[in-house]
Amino acid sequence: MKLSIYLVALVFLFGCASSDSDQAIDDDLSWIENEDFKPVRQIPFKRSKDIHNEIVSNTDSLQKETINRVPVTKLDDVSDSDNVISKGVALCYQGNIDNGLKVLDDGYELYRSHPSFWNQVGTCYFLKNELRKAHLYYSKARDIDKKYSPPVNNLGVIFQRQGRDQKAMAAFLKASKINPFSLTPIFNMAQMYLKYGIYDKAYQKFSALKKHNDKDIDVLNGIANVHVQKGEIDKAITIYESMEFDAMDFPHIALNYVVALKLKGRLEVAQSIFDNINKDYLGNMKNYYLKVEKMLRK
Amino acid sequence: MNKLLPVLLAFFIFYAISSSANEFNRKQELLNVIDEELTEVLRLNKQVRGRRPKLLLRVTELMLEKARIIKEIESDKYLTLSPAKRRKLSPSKAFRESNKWFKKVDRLSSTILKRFGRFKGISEVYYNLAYNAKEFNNMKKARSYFTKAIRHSRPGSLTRTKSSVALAEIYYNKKQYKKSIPLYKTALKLHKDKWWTKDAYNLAWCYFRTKRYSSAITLMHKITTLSKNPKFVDMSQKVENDLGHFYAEAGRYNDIVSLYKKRGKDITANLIKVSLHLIDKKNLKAAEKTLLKAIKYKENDQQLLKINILLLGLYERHRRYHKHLTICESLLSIYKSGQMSGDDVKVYKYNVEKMSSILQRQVVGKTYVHQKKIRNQKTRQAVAYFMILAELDPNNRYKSHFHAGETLYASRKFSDSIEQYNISLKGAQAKMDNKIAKLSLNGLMAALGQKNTRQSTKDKYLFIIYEEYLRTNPRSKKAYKIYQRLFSIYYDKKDMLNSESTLMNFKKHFPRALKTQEAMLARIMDYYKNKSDKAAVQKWATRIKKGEFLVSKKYGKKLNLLLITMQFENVENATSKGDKKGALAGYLQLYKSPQSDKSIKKNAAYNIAILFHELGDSKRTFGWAMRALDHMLVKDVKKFQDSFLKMASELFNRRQFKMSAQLNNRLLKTLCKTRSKNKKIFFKNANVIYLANNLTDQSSILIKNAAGCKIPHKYLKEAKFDLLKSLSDAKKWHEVKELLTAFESSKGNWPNLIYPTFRLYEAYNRIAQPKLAQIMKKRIMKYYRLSLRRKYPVPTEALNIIAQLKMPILQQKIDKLNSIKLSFPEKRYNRQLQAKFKQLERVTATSLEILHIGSGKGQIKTYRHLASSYQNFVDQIRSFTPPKKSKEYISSFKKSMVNITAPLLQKVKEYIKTARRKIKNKNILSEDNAWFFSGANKAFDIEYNFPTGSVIMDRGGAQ
Repeated sequence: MKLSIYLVALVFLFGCASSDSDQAIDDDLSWIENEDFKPVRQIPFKRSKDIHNEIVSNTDSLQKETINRVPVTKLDDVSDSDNVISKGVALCYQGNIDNGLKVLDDGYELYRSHPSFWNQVGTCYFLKNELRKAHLYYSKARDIDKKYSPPVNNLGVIFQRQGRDQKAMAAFLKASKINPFSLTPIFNMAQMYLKYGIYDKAYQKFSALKKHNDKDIDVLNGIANVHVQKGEIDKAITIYESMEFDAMDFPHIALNYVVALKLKGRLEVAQSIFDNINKDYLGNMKNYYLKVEKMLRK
Repeated sequence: MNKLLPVLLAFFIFYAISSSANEFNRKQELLNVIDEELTEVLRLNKQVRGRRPKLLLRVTELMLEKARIIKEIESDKYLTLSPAKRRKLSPSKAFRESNKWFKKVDRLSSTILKRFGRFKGISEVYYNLAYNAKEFNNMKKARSYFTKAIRHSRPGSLTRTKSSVALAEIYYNKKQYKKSIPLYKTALKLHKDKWWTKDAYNLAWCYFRTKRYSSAITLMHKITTLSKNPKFVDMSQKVENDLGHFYAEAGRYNDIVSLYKKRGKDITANLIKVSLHLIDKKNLKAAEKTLLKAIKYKENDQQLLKINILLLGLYERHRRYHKHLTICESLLSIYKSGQMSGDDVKVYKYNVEKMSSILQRQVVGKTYVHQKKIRNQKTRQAVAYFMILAELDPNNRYKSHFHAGETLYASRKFSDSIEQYNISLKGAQAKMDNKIAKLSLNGLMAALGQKNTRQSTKDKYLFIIYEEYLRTNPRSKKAYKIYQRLFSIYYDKKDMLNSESTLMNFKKHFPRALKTQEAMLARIMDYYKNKSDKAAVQKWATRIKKGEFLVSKKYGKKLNLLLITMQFENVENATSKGDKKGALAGYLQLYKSPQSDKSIKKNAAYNIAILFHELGDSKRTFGWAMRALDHMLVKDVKKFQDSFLKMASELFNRRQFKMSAQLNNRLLKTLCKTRSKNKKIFFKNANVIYLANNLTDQSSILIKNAAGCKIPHKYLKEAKFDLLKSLSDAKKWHEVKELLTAFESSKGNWPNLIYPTFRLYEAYNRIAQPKLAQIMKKRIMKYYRLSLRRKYPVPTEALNIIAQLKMPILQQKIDKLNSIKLSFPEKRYNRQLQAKFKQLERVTATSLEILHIGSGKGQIKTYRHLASSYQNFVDQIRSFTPPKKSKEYISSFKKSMVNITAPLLQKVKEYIKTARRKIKNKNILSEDNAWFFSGANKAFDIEYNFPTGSVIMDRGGAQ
């Protein structure tokens, strides 16, 4: 009863307030100057400057296009950058999404004609798991420049997140078609091909990426996986052995290395590597981990 | 002396009495004598028995004589009576005796004529009869008898002479001068008695009357000469009087002058006399000429005056206005000098008054309406008279001016009439003659209003006249119009002080004429508005608002609008000068002002929103936009919809989703019933934002409301499908079901319902509701079948679902195939083999059905099943060794089985090859792909994992 009365009172009050909006007029203009009305001169978008150059890594073939694979701890260089767009998206990657968006908001006036600006806004929402909003802003980036490939790629990522791999693949293909020199869509397609057993194409894509950077462990891992799938175990092992030592810190790389070693009959090495796998990093690979463990025991 | 006077008086009386007594006696004696002779003649006549006409004639003569004498006596007696007695006594009674004798003469004369028609003395009889008739005033008879007397008399006889003279007199008296002349001439030729001068005088007049002036004048001179002779009647005085007249008539004015000069008389005086005479005789032309002549010989001003006065009369009678006027004008100086006598002044004034009146009447009347020249002339003359009259009667001068004004007005000389009316008005006011003052003012007003009035006159007098009129008649019907005209005139001259004063006066005297007051007010306001005199506008507006002036609602609105416009002008000026902060402050002020009505608030709020939008302040932009919408009518929103759309889009850009959605929704609601190009955009934007924020309820309401706003069906459908997807994502299965039911009503939607219905099917399965799930499955298949039949395009996802749903059937068949185990004896083996082949056919047929669906994933899986099934079959055959049989048998058996397995293996290869080709060509992403491509140990399913999934691309990479 009391609650209903309160509710009625609230509605009444709200209704009064909304109908008599004059009472809430804020007429303080001391913070405004005439200069504020002058349109901010936007910074024109230049493709040549649309690049990540905050992080220099010799193991990341995609470093110029994305910081998505950069470990969070290494993103401080980017989040401290003066570049608003990079800074904003870095904060989002670091999980500081609200601040990241705020940084981007602050750069709105300067960069609103940049498709990459809207692309980053979309990415922040993607990272926030607000896929519809991400979709909207990626679409906005596309509306500004239909020949800008990142948002097309990123729409593919959304589709992939939604389990719509076929649509994701179409998006990656389109992104690659828009800009054949974009590496990220190639990487994404390679992964898709590998996931869905189209090994030749996967190998083709990974090989192209390897040419850019032969130390990228994800690329090398992809190639190794292709070999494993195709039964080219020796080739796979050769690839795994060429990787940097810390590559085996990643369970998704280590597990298939173990499988390859097992298939080759190098049980001890396989076991050793298997034992060093940190179970805390397994994520949704727990089942596969158990499968591999079972296989090792056979 | 005193003693002598009575004596003398007595003497005179005695003499008079004795004289009259003597006269009477004489007449009596005469009568006696006549009686005696008459007795004698009668006796003689009796003797001759009346056969001697001469005697009878003598009788008549004696009777006639007697009758005359008796008449004289009777006349004398009659004259001695008092007037009262005379009135009582009839002439027939007074002259009875004489009349009796006259009648006797008549009778006897008629007898003589009857009896003695050829009597030589018949002319005398006629003469007696004529004389009698004359006595009795029977002129016609007398004329006839006299004519007969003349005809029957001997030339040169006395009868003829007397008859001629008598007849001439008759003709003379009858003005038949031409007839008179020969008779007189005859008579005068015949005798020259004492009456000759008298008769000649008449003859002279006959000549005169027949314009034989020379003859008349000559005869007059003769009469004058003869009049000196005592033998003749002295007609000299008369002649003297008339001669001047004759000369004047004859145009011989010099002769008149000579005449009087000769006689040593006062020429001018005599000429005046002559002229008077002529005037008397109505010979006005001659009189004029005489008087003009007289002027030449005037000896003093008095004479001149007299002449002029006479001329006045003359011209007045003649209607010779021009000359009359000239005289009047010339007399004015004499009048002013005081030389005119009272009578002359009277005459002078009378003439001036009369002529002015006559002329005025002529001007005013219709006679000369079409004779402009004459009318103008008469007007001028009338006015001149009035001006003279003004001098003659200075006390009533104003009246003269008034009449002059009236005359001029009647003659359409309005400008001149104004001058006169003005003088008359002033004079009448000074004399406190309200009547004339009023009439003058009316005249002024009327003349002022005429088209033909000169502008310079109007300019000179207008204000005076109007002000004067209003002063005296502030509340009249005319005043009502005058106030307005005056106002307009002041207004046109930009004399606002007087314009406003006029308005106030009008208001004071016509407090209920609200409409007119309003019209004046409006003009004043317009003036100040055009001059950008905001203070004045405000001042007047305040007065109006205070109620000092009552205005109509319509004008009130207009006034408000004017104030709004002015207020907004201030602000817009600030904007145009780049002072947007000032403009913003101005708009805020306008909005907050209690005087601001909805219209002002609407405009102010809108502009504030725009300014904050420029500033990039989302919150304030939204707040003011909503305020503006609160105050706006639909048509206003429609007008500014593009701006609002920009604001809403900007809010979205700045990630203010709630505000953006609210604004879009509000705009949609407002424009719902209008034709708006942006309506569908508002709808779509709002819906997209709602769904992006997982506000499915709002989306649902929005879509429901949008249906009534004539949003294109395409947009609504798209929105609904979006909503359906969101509901499915949010697992709001109840709403999903409702929406699906709504969509189902249109079969065109069925292909697109497959996927969402499948999601519902999965949901039912997850909650272990197999029956409900089955219903959904049936629906899916129904949608698919119809889509096929109607060749609707089916989305790939839907095809995948159909294939997926059909897989269990295939799997069943495969399971059955696999369940058929091969065993000996041979017959059983063959039977089992056949059964397996049959079942393989069934598996193949079902696989073909699934392949036909067109789902890539489904095809790959099917190919995998086919390849696996065939391969399993081959493996089963190959791996079978007949038990308890010989090696040869077994070898032979195995050889024979190769023929069976070979085609099956071929099929396997085919299927794998086809699948691989499809996978590569169509990029089919099926979980079964690895089975076709993997060369690794198929006993262990190698997984490729990438924890982070696909990689986000931040930058273009500058390539």
